[in-house]
Amino acid sequence: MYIERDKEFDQLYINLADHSGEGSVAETVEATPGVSLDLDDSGRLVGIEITGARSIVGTPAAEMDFTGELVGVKEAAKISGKDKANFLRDLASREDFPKPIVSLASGRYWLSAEIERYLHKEKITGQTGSPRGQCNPPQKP
Amino acid sequence: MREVVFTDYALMRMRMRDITRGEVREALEAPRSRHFFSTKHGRMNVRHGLSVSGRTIVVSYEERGGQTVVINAVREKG
Repeated sequence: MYIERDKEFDQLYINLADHSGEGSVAETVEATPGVSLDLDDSGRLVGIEITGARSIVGTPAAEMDFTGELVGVKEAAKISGKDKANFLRDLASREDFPKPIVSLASGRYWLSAEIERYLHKEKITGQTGSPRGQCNPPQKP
Repeated sequence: MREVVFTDYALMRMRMRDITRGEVREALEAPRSRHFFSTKHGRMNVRHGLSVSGRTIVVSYEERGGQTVVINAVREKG
């Protein structure tokens, strides 16, 4: 489950599925004005969308505080305390770094909570950091 | 027609809802109905029955700086 928000246009999407697969939504039903439900082809709930969060929830989407949301490279780099280039080179390229939830033409998107967990684990244990496609050199006896 | 641009949020919703940019453009060019919402910039919803699939989609957009900014698209039941 993850949350996406459009801060500029005050929209919020709660994705209840474990992916945001192409065509995973068969139909959208308006529950109440401004609140829509995305259903799959079996009628199961895939996501909940709130359009105009300020008037519906009382708080604009931009001011809501979540423990996890979908973030792009810019935001992921900020969470990591790096600039974009260093984030992509030093963190996103690691074998054990969280996989992006989705990769679009506009870039990759991660769950902020997964990045935070990864950084926390690295800080506590130092057990992260193998670059993708690389392995440690063999130890000499 | 003005330049049509899509927000990342709209593209994510379109991807999940299997709505193409071409279908959105078709709806913007020849909507069956329009509904205006009073927001800061003025938001418009257009409803359109797609000519190929027969599905009905609703596209939300705002006009900004000479561009049509598509902020959401929904496929209706039926």
